[in-house]
Amino acid sequence: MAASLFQLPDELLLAPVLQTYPCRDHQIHTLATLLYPSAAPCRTLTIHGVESTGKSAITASLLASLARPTPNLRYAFVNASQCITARHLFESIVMSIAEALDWPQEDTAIRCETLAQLDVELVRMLKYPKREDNFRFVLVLDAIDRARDAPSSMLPGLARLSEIIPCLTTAFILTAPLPLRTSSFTPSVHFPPYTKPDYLRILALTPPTEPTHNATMEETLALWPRFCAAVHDALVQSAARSLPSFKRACETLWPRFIAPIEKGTYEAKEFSKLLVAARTHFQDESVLNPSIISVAPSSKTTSTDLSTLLPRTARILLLCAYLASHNAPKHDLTLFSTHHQGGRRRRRVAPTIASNKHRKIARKLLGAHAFVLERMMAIYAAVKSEWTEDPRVAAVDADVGMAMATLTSLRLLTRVGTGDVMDRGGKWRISVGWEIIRGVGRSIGVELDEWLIE
Amino acid sequence: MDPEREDTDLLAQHDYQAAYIFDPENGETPGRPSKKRRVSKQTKVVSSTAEDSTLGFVPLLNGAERPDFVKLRAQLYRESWGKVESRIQDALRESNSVTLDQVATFVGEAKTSADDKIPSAFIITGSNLASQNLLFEQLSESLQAASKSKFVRLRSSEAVSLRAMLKKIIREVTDGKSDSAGEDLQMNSGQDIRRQYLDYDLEALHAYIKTDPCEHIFIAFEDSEGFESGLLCDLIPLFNAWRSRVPFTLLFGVATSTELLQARLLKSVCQQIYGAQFDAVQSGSILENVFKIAVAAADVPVRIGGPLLRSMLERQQDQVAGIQSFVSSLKYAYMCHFYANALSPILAAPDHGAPALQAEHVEALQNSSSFQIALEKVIAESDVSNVNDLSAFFMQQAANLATDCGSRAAAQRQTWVSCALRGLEVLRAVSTTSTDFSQSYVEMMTTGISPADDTMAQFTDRVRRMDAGALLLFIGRVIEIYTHGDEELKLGPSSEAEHAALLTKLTELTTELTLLQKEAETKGISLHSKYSGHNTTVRTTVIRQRVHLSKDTTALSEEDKQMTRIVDDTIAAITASLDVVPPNEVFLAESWLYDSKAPSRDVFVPRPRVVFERSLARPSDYLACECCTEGHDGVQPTLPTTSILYQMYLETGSLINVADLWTAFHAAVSKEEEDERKVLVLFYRALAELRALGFVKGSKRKADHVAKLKWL
Repeated sequence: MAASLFQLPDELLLAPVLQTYPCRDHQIHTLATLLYPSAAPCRTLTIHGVESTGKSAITASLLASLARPTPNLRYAFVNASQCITARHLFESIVMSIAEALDWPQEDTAIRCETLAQLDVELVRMLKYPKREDNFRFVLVLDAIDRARDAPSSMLPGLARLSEIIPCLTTAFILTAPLPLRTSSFTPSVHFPPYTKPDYLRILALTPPTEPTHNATMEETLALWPRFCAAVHDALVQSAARSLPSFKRACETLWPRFIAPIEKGTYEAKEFSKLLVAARTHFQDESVLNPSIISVAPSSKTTSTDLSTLLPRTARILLLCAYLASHNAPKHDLTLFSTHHQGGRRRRRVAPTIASNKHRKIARKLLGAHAFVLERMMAIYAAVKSEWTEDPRVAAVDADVGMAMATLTSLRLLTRVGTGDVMDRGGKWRISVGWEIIRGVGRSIGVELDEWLIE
Repeated sequence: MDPEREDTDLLAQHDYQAAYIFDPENGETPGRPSKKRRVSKQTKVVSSTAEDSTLGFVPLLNGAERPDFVKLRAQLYRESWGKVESRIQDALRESNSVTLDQVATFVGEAKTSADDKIPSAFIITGSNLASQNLLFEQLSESLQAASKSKFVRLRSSEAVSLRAMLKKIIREVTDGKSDSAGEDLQMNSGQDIRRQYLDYDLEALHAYIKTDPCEHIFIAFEDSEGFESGLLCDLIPLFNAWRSRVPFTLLFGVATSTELLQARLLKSVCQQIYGAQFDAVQSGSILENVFKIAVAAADVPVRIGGPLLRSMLERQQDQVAGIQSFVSSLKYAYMCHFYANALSPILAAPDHGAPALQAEHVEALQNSSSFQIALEKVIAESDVSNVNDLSAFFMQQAANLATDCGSRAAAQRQTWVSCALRGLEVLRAVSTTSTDFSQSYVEMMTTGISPADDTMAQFTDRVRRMDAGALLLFIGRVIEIYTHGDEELKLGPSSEAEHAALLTKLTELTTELTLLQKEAETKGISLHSKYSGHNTTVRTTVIRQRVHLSKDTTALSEEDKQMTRIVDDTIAAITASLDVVPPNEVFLAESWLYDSKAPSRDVFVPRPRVVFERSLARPSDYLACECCTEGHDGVQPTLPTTSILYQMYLETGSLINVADLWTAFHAAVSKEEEDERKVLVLFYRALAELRALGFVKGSKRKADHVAKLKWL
């Protein structure tokens, strides 16, 4: 049979890929056409789309299934985000190409530091040896936009490799389409985010394997897609726009959703009642924001918040830092001076409601301001005797310095700007929020509310 | 002696001086000072052998102490501290064992259950970085023993970049097999003989794992707070991506909380972590444990006095949350005791084959306060009415007391320790409130236990209110304390004669009480003593429209009377044995009791600002020169220039006009120094010194002004 000029790959080759990755038929066919040697192989190809839309997985599995029965198609797959430097990336490319071609190891270049060297190596391995007529080599560079330390010339340079080596196809996988100015036309395949029907179709492939207690398997299977649709409407559409997070949300919410069925409160057919019962779970945003702690601690947890971990001086310093960060310096005299009124401080000026004209945002909401270290120490000296039973005058000794060092090493206080850490006039900022600080304050019996002036 | 040696000796002397006087004008020492680094090998050898024997201890008793005793003190220090330290280390290692087991279990399970996430153990260690070291050392040992694995410890101080971290990890895992000379890493495995890897390429690790399979590669971030978030966010996904080929497991030492750590990581990174949280034992509970075995135990060589202990405990609570600083304070106390106390070797001298005490020793111990107390006691007990020469008699008694004092002091110490610790335990046996052991021990070390005490009144009160069962239990516990002692406190069975009497009395009481209880049971009545309040009733009578409350005591039954007697007897017997004098009144307590707060405070809590201020305000105290010692206050031209400027500095406001300061300075100094240029130089130097000491800084607010700094 005479080889026709244009021959699409056999559908049988594509079938497993199409089956594994539903809702991506268009992209799979396009890629197959652009990569298959007998079809319309292109020189440079960009594959782009937001994360978890199946770019890398589909490309890899498609190439694997295409190359298996086709001797004149070889490919190499390099993940650029796993390479630490540009040199690392170039050497990985050379290594994986040598591996794909079964190139003798003695002949493989050990060093490949620049783009030019890469060029030489690829020409040596791909262009010069005599190959079959329509031999193609596909080099896939995954996540090339996240390569570390990449020189600006790297991407255009890699894109032009195929101009020197005709049998090479370079495919870039990117998040956003990148205008490659070097070539006049670069075919690009877009992987759009999945739509709701897509999502539901994909999730329908992985239904719960065990029937719910008090319900038959059919009922469970019927309930699953409706449940997925509800989860999609509640969470995915607004917040979690990716397949893994959708999957995770479904997995987390499913046991809570079917809990009333298992208890026997409702039947599997009463979908709307189940939905109303599980309404609070659907509003729970912790599903979207997974904790780094996946295993619940087995033993009873001792309270390990800041207030028990830090020694008292460090806690007081932290509170002082918060005050210095969130009070304006002009109020310091009002708050901390004991000079007037025979030792009774005039704390807390009455809130002025009159200034309604130019409303300001509360300082508490504005976040931490930087403060001078000296001011914090002055506040410390002022409040120390009041917050502790220790009647001694607070002196700044080595223990206070140590507490400062502790807070700094824990990054609860951070230095703003440059300069020496020992500089007394240096500016600092607190990096702990109100909730934690209030707990710390209460642990030493201080209501910090009383010391803040809005 | 060659000049270099002399110089180093001079520097070594300066190290131990109370104040160092810097005198740049005295131009007699030419050139720059010699370096402190050891220049020749010879000196090193000499000094190291010298250090071995004496640890730099110097002869005491105005230099009259014989080298034997100096050596003995050094040896005693090493021995006694070595013993206590190894005990503390054992306890610390023991305390971490639960956490270690938990982590090992998690690591084993997580390998299968983590799916596509990277297993990570978050260990809450508390804010003290020093204690993390031991924990991670143990983790490394136990995890490597549990399975074939490698352990890499990373500290934030060495984590400068992603490349450096990966380099370190690969180096540590591949151990000595890596070629550290070049940038490339040569693998020595058979098939990959020609393959070279970049030294930050995890592929190298993969190749290494292939030849030498490991179950886990642990990467421990010891102080996770110190690492930059960006670096962690780079590393974690990288490890996760390689996890199918290289079995990474992460360990994080968390000082604050996992929430704060999570807030610093990217969400996409958080999704890749399969974590579990573990709480290391907090220092508060370890402290009690260490306190018992290292401070209170019956066989510790040096006892720390009450006030010092109290200040150590307070500092522990207020300032530092870590057991290490407590241990180092304890070590410092030991050092001070053996370094500066000439009486310290007296107790142990006979065992170590030391010669007889010197005359200076005898003199020193006769001057000690505990010796004088003992002497007074002897004099009071002896009949002095028919003694002719009182002073000769007195001297005779003192000499008697001093002979063979070492062994007697040792015996008395043992008796005191045994009584005191048992008394403490008895008091704690009835105490209902859960006061810490350390608190009650400190109390005992300060005041002893005396029947007139508040605590004793409470003790009596509590015992009286016990019913028969509780009383029986209590007596049983007391008997146990005296016959078996306490495991943790290393307290053996008591060998004192008076304790034997107490024990027989208590045993009698137990049998009596048991009999009485049985009798009451058969009769079907419950036992009460007259203190339990069951036999009093409050009666209300109304007489002429006035309410009268009167208490009525019902007559006690025969059993109740017996019960009352038993309670009284018990209290009397125990109270009699609970009389413990404060430790400093025990004969020659100076040789085993250390109690001075000042050295420890100076070393652990220095207050540089206060020291600067004092030395600038009163330079004559330090310089001891004639020109400054005249009594009157105020600025004198003969003072050091920095001091003069400091006096003026004290009189100014928060912003200081330098021109005014100069005018005042010139006026003060010109009486001594005529040349204005020289005065100006002095002024500049003094101002520069004030700035270096942190009293002033340049101000941007006003031209030609400097600002006062107050708080550091």
